[in-house]
Amino acid sequence: MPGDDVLTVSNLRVGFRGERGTVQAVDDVSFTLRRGEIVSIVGESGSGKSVSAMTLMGLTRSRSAVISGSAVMADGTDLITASNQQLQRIRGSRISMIFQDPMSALTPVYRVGDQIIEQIRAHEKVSKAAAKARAVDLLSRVGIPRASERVDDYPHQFSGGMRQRVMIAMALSCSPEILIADEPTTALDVTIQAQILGEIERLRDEIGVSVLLITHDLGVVAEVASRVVVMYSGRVVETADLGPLFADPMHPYTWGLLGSVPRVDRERPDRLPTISGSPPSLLHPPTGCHFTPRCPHRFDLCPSVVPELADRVAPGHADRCHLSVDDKRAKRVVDGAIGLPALTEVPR
Amino acid sequence: MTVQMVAFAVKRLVSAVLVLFAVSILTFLIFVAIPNGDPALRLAGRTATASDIAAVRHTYGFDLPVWQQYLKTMGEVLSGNIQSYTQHVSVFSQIERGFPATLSLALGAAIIWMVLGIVFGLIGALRAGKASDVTITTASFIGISAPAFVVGAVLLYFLAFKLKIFPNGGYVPITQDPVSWFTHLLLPWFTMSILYIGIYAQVLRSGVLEVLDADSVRTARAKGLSPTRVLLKHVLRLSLIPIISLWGLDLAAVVGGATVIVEVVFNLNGIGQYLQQSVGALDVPPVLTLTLLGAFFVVLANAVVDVVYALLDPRIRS
Repeated sequence: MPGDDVLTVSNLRVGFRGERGTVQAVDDVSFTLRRGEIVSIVGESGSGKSVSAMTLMGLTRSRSAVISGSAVMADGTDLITASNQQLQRIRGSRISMIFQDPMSALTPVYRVGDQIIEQIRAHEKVSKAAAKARAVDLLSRVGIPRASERVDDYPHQFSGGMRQRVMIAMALSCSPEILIADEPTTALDVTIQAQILGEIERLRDEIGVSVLLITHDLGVVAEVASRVVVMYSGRVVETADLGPLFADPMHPYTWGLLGSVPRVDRERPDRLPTISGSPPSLLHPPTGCHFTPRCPHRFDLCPSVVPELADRVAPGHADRCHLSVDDKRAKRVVDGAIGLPALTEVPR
Repeated sequence: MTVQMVAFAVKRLVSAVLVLFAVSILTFLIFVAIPNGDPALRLAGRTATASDIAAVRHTYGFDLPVWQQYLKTMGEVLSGNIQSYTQHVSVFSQIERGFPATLSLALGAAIIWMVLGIVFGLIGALRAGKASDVTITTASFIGISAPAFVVGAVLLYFLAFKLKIFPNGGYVPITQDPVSWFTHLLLPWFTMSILYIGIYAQVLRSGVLEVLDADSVRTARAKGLSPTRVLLKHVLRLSLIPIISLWGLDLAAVVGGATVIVEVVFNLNGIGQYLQQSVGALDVPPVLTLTLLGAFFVVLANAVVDVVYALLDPRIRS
């Protein structure tokens, strides 16, 4: 049924124990994915977005990983507590994932058709011939010309964009409920990027798969997402529908992200605006709100109390910032547009 | 056969011939350069007179200029008609006699070290950092460092001579007594392999560790493939490619005579030992022939390995 929740992630925590302490890569992450939605998780490197996604697939499980929280699918299966065997069955059949670099994501020594067939036959009892026919069909559906010939080609015989299409075809081969796309267009040039995103949207319309799109690129978000989850230093700092996030953002980090995108409709600045400082260490993060050292609007509450992720401005629009809604609306405007002013002192 | 493939084959053939030519000249020149006394004296025997010696010198062509001697000797090698200076026997018949021992030793050891190298390398990679990995790595380095003549001699002394568990050296043809052939080769196989097992285990271990982190393996896991399938069809398939090429080259080297030390320690009378004896006697014809034979195997193996590599890794073909 449209509008159903296909995935509910609650209080997800992922830490990696090492000699020097525990790296808390994911700290209390919650979000929901509804049927047919494209939800985008945005953040910079080290924000925990990829680790969250990999954890949903069970790919971060190891002796040193400490994972808690829940990630419940439509039928009640909790991906966090499911056994390794259960997860292995779910991977590739109910939830699929495509990765950033299509050049290296496919095994170079097998034909692409065989790699798709391998996935199909790992989950369904079909003959090789039937699986191959499906592979050809999938390849042509993702826009690969002469699919019946190309199915016997090796990965190195495809260009980057084509390889990503092969990955998408492979990921959708068992009609999963959820597709996780981890920076699918980052390694591709802009024109191909638009094609791939269009492909993902089209397949979502045709097949009805729900998409979790991980990216650091706000342009990609604006293009295809209906809801956005902004992550910083392992935590969700803001989550909202697309419109409200761009029009009424409620977290200084989001202002910083929006403000750092160069504007075509404005005069060119002398320097590109950035967010001062750099992301904190996940081994020894700052106390209270993680963004405090880099936030020009910080005050005494920020380093002492972790802000709760709560709906402060409207239902469905949550953020982790102690400032009042009015304060935010005032402080976020810099030089007539949404942004973050530079810090006057160097952050510790 | 495309034009490209024919051109490739011709190029390899030409370079192979050039390599063998260079090897032959270098080997010949080594004997010209080293002080070896007068071979004619030795060939003529103890009770030779001056005219006997001169006659021998003329028969063998030692009075000819060096380059003519080279051509003469090479002609004899290539026609299969070459005689040794010291024994009045055909070099090729000696090689025929010794080759089965060398082949048995080389091939048997090569199979053992390949299988065990892969097993230990895989265990070491999958249990990286743990006790079993540390043990395997330590053992590998002991195997790599321990000289074959020490290991062989020690094994021979304790296990064969003192405890009499194994035969005291020597080689028994398989056609004569398969069981005996086997028991005589056990210690030599072990001595020969420990070096290579150590190397191959370490090479495969680091190869597997690298591949385990590869994007393609992550994709394989994300596809929901069983861990066994991921390991065998993706991880191993990729990590074995360089190992197989390495094995081809090492096999050629041992078949071509790198078995010398082990053959001498265990008195197997293979072509390696024949080479050692000929060098000691400064006997040019066998040394030249055996060196060329060894070089031939290496050159051939190089070409075969290139083809096999292209078969295993489609990226190479284009």
